[in-house]
Amino acid sequence: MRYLRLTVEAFQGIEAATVDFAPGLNVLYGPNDLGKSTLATAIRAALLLPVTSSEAHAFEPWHAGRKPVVTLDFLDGQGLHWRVKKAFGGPSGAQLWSSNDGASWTSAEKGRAVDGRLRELLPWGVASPGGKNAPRGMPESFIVNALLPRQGEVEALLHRGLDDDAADSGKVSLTKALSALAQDPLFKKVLDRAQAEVEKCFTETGARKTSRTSPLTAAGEAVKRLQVERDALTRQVADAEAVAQRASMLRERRAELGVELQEAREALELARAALVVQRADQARRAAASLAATAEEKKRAVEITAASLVEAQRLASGDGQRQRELQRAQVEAMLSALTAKRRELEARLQKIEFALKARADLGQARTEAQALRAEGVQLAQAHARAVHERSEAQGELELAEGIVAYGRWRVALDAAQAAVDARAQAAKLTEEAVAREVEAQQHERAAQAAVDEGAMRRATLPTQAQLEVLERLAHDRDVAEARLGGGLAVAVRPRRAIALHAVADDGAPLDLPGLKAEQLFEADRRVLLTVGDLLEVEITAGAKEARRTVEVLRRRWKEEMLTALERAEVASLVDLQAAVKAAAVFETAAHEHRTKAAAARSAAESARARGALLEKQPSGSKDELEAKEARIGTLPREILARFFTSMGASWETQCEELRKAKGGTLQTRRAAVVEVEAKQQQVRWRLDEVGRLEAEGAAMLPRLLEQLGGTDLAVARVQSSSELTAVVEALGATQPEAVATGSRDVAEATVKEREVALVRAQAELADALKAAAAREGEAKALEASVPTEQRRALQLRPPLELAAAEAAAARAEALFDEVSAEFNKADGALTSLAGPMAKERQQQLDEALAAAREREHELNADADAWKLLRDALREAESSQTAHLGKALGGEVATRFLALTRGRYAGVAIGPTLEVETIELPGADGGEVLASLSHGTKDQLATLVRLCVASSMRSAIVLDDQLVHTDGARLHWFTGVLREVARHAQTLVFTCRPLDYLEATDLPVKAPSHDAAGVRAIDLTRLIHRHYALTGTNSAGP
Amino acid sequence: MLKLLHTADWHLGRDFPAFSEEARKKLSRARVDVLDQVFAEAERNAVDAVLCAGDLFDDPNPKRDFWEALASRLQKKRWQRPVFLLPGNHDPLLADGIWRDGTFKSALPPFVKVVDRELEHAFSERAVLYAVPCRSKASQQDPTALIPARTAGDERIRVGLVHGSAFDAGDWQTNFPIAKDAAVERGLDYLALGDTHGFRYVPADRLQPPTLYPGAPEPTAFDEQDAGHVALVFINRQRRALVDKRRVGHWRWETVRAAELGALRALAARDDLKNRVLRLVVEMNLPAPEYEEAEALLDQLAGTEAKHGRAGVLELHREGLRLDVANLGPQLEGLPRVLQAAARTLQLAAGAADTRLAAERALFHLLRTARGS
Repeated sequence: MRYLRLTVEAFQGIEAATVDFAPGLNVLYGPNDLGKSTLATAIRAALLLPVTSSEAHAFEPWHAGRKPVVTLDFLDGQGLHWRVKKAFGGPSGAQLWSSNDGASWTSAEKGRAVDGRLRELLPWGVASPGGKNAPRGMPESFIVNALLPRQGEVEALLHRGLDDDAADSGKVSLTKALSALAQDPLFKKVLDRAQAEVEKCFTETGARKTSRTSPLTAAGEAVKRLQVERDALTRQVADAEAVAQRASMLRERRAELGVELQEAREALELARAALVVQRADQARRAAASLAATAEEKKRAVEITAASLVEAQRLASGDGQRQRELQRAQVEAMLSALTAKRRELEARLQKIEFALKARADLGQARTEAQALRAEGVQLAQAHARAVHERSEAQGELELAEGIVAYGRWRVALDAAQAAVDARAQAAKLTEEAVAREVEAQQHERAAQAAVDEGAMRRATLPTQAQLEVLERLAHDRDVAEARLGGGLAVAVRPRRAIALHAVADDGAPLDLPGLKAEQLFEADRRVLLTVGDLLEVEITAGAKEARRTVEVLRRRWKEEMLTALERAEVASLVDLQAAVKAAAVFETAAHEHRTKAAAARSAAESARARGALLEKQPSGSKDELEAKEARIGTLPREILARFFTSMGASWETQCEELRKAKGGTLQTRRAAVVEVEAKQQQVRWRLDEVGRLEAEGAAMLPRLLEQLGGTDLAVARVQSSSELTAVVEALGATQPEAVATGSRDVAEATVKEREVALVRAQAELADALKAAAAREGEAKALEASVPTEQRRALQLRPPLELAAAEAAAARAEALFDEVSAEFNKADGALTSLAGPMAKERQQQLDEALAAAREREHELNADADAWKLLRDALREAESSQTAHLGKALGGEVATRFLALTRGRYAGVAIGPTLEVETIELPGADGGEVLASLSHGTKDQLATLVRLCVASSMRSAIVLDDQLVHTDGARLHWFTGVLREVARHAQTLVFTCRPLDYLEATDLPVKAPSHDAAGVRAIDLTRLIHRHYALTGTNSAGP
Repeated sequence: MLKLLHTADWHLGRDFPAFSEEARKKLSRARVDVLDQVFAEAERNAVDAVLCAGDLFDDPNPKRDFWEALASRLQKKRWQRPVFLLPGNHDPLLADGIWRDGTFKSALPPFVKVVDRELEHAFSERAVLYAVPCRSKASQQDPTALIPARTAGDERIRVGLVHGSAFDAGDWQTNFPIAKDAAVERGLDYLALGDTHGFRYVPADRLQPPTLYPGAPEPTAFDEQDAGHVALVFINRQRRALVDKRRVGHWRWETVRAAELGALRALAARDDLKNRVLRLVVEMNLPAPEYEEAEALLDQLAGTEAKHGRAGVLELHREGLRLDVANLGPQLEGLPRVLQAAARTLQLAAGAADTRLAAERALFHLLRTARGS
């Protein structure tokens, strides 16, 4: 806002005045009492005071009856012209016009509404008239005090803040102004950039943009696209992997089954062979059996033939006497048999009696024997119990002996250990010496190896040089090979020549009297020498290749041959071996050094251990002897064995043993007593049985004697059997006695035996034939089995044929099945293309990772810009909300510059009340209250100027800085000119030269403009109701 | 003497989706450009034949640009030496694949032999080639099983040409598994393989008779060992083969980890970066001025819209690059107080894990924008 023109009529002491203001600094000057402050009051009244206010009475001229009228033209912040005219003292005395150009005016408001509109145009924290908190007189507010201060009102500004205003419009407008101030160009640049970046990716509400224009969308879509493709491939790969895995498995399975099938087929063949062998065996056995039958048949034929001869003899006429003799013999036999039966019946009775007597005697003897056996057992048990008792006694003694032995042994071991330790110490010393010697030997060997290695290396290339030579060898081989294209050289001698030829690296060929054409073939080179006449070398290959070979051959001579000669070896291989061998010496030297170090370390260790062992204590001799005496007579070796087996806890174990053996001894003693009682009972029963035995023994010999001393059981069986036979013979002999002697019977017998002989002979012939047939069959079957199968059958048992056939069929079916499955899987594999899909999947994995990283990067960057934008806004908001911080910096800077560092700082509160003035130093106090009036005035002026500057609004300074010295006033002039560039500044003063040069003052016209400063001589513009005494207000 | 040039795995038409558009073009084009080096090597050494052991195209149906690039290069040659193009598992012999494409085949000069069946080709009376193509993208069949074994009395040089994996047979991932001792079993004096992208003998310790992968002439990934070569093979009358490894590739793929600014400076100062595909992992915590320098160095390496980067292709991992926000005093001096206040707010935010990254970058943006760079 800036003022354009002020017209005053009948306002206090001024009758009429019109002042035109320029942008920038306006210095309005005139002598005291001219009406400068009246003009300032008129401005305030025009803008702030309702025409009906009682305070307006003060404006009325005291000597005239006119109403005071003020007309003020001004520009608002948007560049619109406004004219307010107030005729104080009546309700309709206010009018407001507006204009775009300042020439043609339009009425905007009238009457009471004028002030309301003015409050809107000038939001300075003043309440609207008629409303709540509406002022009764001239309104006050922080901005009013700042921009239109009453003359001399310093304290009011310093102690008043925006919170004291009746309306918050002042705070709002000042906050807005200071926000704009905070928009430092650099800050704005950063904020604008951040905002632009944020807008690329985020909506106004802060959500991520999903439109295609957003880089995040593009990146996200790229990720999604790749993800979809990869997922599809992953499925394809998984399918293919499954199929490939299956195909691979089936391939291996098929191979295994192939082997199994072969084995099953072999087993089947073997089973079949076994069956043939088995059938051959059966045939052979059958042949043998048939042969045996034939033999029997042969014997039967012989017997039948003999009996036929006998029957024929009996049936002849010469057999009559023999048949009668046979009849007499049968009758005599019948009589003898009857007598024999009676005799046998009597003998059987005696045998039965004797048997009973012998059974009784046997029972008595058995019992006696059992009792004796029990007696023997009891005697053994007694002996055992006695032995065990004695043993227990012995064990107890042993336990005590072990204790004594143990104590002696411990003492002895300690003594021995001491002796051993000293011996060991001596050995360790010897060992240390030996190891030192060994170390010296190794050191010498290491040195020797070093010397040898160095000597060898002296003539050998280094590893790097060797690598160069190896590369040279490879390059030469390759270059030679590159020459190779094939050569055929035909030599056609016109007369006999002696030709020497070499093809490539082959063996030389000498042809002493060559007459006919000779063809030489080679890959790359043929060398022909004709006697001592001519040498022809023919090399294949392009020129460049030949040159390369020449260079490499030259290098070979220069480098390789030199190296070989120097090393005195024949080939690169030998050279490599020599270098390797030289390296061996270095390794050997290192090993010797390591061993030497180890030997020295061992020597030191041995010495240290020896020293420790020598310090080991030994016991006294008397004590040892006393302990040995306590051992007693028990063999030492036994005690030693027990002691040793007991280990470290021998003493405890011995104590337990002693207790245990004491208990055992008691048990054994009781057992002995028990056995002795049983022995007594057995002895009593034995006596009784002995008596019975003696009686039986006396009777039985007599009976046996009567029976002939034979075994009774056998005699009984024999007698019974004989009796049965005799009874049967009697039964058979009686009819025979009747039939014997008939001729018909004899002839019938002959016929019968003839038939039997013919039958037996036929059977014999059949049996022989069958045996021969089976033998032939067996041989044929054996011949049909191959030798290796017969051997195999000897080594392992064959399977059953049916089982082998089933196994082979199973194996074949399985092999066919798996083969079919493999072919199917392999076929499926070809269509799935798994490995390619997997490669593609790997590519996509990388692409997806890259796309995700890009997306992440973009998101991170977008988030970063958003975070930056938010942080900038927050900082901006924070800075401007604390108006003191926003304004304070400038005020403080200028105040410190004004006071030349006399003060350390100015603290201005959030609502612009000046809080403290800080002194320099750590313990600087607050000095606002003690500031001089002039300094307070200067501080207040600075605050006002800063407010005006930040609001870009005109400021009126009415005789400010009257208590300011020349130097500071000069400084202030600079500040005023600077502020006036942004905010129009009206300075009412009676001392214009404080602000202007004399040349800046108007001479004839009422005002003079120069360099943004208008000097206005008010004496020429103000018409007072009375004349002033002085006219030149420029004087002091 | 039989002289052969053995190459494989050109992968013409391969895409590199992990890289930027520009880098993808460069790397894809390099696969075609390297063919000039491969063929020049064949000419320079006057080889008897060129064996191309499969995966010559990345796909059974490559774009026209790629097969035309190959055909046009071959058309310019006035060769008699045969060039054998073997279908691999990437470009198998499919009915609708490139090898059956009449347009492509008619564009090839007569000396180019597409191995479109099991092939026995006599180089001369003394040398013979057996080639077996891949007929599918995947299989568990060993292609060398189709090469007849050497018969008694056959003293010819026998060379095999197949494509497949000579790795552990137990590995299910093996595709077209090739037995390690196939060369010995089939009586071959040289077995030319294609599939793996690094130059390697199989097994590594057996050089005679050689079973060799020459690798891709132009590398395709960071983890490939010794890629970028062809093999020059000389087989003499005694049937002993000599192999010479020849570098033909332009690009070298390299991974660099920079843990301090000095390493980054040294990297940026290198003069061999033009042909590098560089994977750069930055892991350092720097105060503001050095952070700014690091950003500037990364810009130099990566390039900007106005200027090419120093690295041929850069894959940058910069998550580990952090701004030391604790000591920003000197950098904040002279800035308007409102900017200083914002910087302090961001410093506080950098102390929290969830806002650390954003706050660090925000601070960097603030400082850089305020300084007008």
